Amino acid sequence: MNMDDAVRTFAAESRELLEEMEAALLTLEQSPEDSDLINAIFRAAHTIKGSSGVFGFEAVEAFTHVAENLLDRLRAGRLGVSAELIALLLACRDHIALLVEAAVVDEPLDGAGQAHGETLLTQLRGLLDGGSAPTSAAPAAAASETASETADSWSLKMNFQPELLQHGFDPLSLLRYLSGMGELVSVQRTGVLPPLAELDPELCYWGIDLTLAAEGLTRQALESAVEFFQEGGEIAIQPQPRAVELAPVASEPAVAPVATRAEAAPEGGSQRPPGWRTSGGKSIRVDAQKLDQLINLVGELVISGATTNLQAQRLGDERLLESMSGMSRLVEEIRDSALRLRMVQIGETFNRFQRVVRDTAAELGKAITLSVTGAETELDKTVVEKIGDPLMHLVRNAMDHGIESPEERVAAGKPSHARLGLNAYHDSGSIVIEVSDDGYGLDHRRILAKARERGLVGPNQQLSHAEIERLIFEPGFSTASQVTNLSGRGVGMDVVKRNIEALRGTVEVDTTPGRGTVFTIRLPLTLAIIDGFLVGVGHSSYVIPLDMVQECIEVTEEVRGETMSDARYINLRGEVLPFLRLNELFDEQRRDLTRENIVVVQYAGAKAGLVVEELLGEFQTVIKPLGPIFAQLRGVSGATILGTGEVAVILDVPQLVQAAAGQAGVSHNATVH
Amino acid sequence: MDQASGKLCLDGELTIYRAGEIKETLLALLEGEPTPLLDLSGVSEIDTCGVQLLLAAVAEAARRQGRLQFSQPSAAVVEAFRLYQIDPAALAAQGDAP
Repeated sequence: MNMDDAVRTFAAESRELLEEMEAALLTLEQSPEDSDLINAIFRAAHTIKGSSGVFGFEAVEAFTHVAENLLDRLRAGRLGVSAELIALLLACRDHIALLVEAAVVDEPLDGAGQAHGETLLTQLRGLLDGGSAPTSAAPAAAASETASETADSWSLKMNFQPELLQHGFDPLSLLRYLSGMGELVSVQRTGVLPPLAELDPELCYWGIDLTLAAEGLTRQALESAVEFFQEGGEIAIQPQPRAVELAPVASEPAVAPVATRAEAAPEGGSQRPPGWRTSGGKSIRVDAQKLDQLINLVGELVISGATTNLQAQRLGDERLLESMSGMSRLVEEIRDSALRLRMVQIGETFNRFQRVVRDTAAELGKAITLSVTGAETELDKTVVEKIGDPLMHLVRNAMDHGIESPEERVAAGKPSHARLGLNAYHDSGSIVIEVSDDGYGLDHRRILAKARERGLVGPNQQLSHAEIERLIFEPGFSTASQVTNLSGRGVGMDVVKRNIEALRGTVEVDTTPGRGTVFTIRLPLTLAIIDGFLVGVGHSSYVIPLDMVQECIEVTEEVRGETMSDARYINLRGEVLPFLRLNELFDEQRRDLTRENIVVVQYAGAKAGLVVEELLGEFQTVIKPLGPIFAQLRGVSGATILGTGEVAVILDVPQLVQAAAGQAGVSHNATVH
Repeated sequence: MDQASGKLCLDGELTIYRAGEIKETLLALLEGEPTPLLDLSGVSEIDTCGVQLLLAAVAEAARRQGRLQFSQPSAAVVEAFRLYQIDPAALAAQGDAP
């Protein structure tokens, strides 16, 4: 493990700890008596402080140290849990998160961040100084605990594992840290360096025996200072009798007799197994890149499997075909398990909203409880990463516009405490995420009036409720009568919709006036593989995502007349269907002038026809993203490799539907009717 | 680097990242000249690996009946020696043999 890896691990672990800390703080607010929670919060802060010290991230360490002191007070029961304290600790947690991120990229915090940190420190110190009991009472109060054992001089005997340095831990930084806690009265190196020629320059050959003098230093403080080195070696801590402290400090390896090491061992934590970071064994941490690479390879395997299958069919050898079908099944299973590896539970994403809801509700003066269900529902990590923003928008929007103030709620005969729900479940190859509230519900009349005012709907056009509800996803649409700083700037739902569509998902809204609103997001489980529908145009093949294909129509003589006309739409059972000719769009030479088919695709309520020559059937497709060169290419969302080794382009149906509607001169809305 | 006159400047990081390379440099230096001068003025950073290497080099010079001397140690080197309570002058005189 080199230093970068170690720092990355530090960052990942710190983030996890900070998340745990946040969750514990939020729960603590509900059940202030829970000492387990306080301990968990303390441990998280303590661990972050310890590891940041080891890495020399002084800013993180210094700040966390003060926060930890306060948590220690809390833990000792010398400070009560209050809403203010929780708010302060949450703010501290956020600041630690900032500091960690800054430390990891090796950049100092900006001025505002630093000023904020100072403010927090002042608040922390205020509480620490003004705590119900003065600090000096501590040793007396907890005299029975060895952890609070106090001495003015301590002896530390440290033996390290040779690999310590490779793990990014440097005894030198520990010495530096200890020298900040007190005076290093003596430092003795133990162990023998081999001759230079035989020396492995990356191993640690030394142990350190040292004497540290500081007034009233507790064992606990020392233990926490060396905690991280205990995992990489043995450390025995012993208080020094006063007499020795007074003895002249010479090169004499003065300190503690050997016997004390055995006594001290159980406390020094040296009973830990010598292994490095031996965790529970329930899960392992894997670099996401490695997983992506695996999935990439599995994708290749699927493609080459398809190629082999094609060859086998061409040869027509019975036994080969049989073994191929066995192999295809295995490949499919491997593909599914590989994709499952990248699946993560959505709960973590959901839980992040606890804090958002708490803070926003306080800001808005509303009482809102977040209820999370289906947290264990799994979806692809790449999808999870991208769903955060749209979800955030929906949640904030619900809190801001969806939910009434407590007074309004009581007046409407509802409980003053509003409920905001996040729910997730699987449904036929998709994951469905619901954001629900029990607020006003959408006001159909207001939406319609607004839409008419904006010219989105003609004055005499009659719309169904569902159609009206869909209007809120139109660009530039917002019914908020007043703009708040949370949402309502008119750049709302259309962005949400676009982001979700970019993930090949859909978003719908369902509302009951006076009872609440439910936003339903439907997303594919993975972005790596889709079920496609293969079509032939000229000499090339194109893939249309199968779930967007509605039907296929053969172009009959009767229809042909229409397609040949200048009008770019046909009459599909009385419906206006704009269409695009793929051969024109992609400049393909037509091979077969007699046959034509129309694939009717639907996206977000709008339909379009794609004129193709051949229908080649369903095809499971591994999506290969296109390079940045093709970023400007319209109508194409990716590519895939066919069994024959040819490249097939995956069509971007949402874009094509829009283009078809545009060129046919019918507005987006009109196609719905 | 000016190995002919038995003087070597170590620049930059004297840490685990370059430990292997520095070890070879030091060995080569002592191979040619058992009593060299090691200029440490350009050392920007040093860790325990670096300190170990310097001390092993001192011992190696002593083994070859020579003497390795440090010249103008940078602030980083001075701090590391202070924390480890290493006296460079005493080292050079006796070699490091704990």
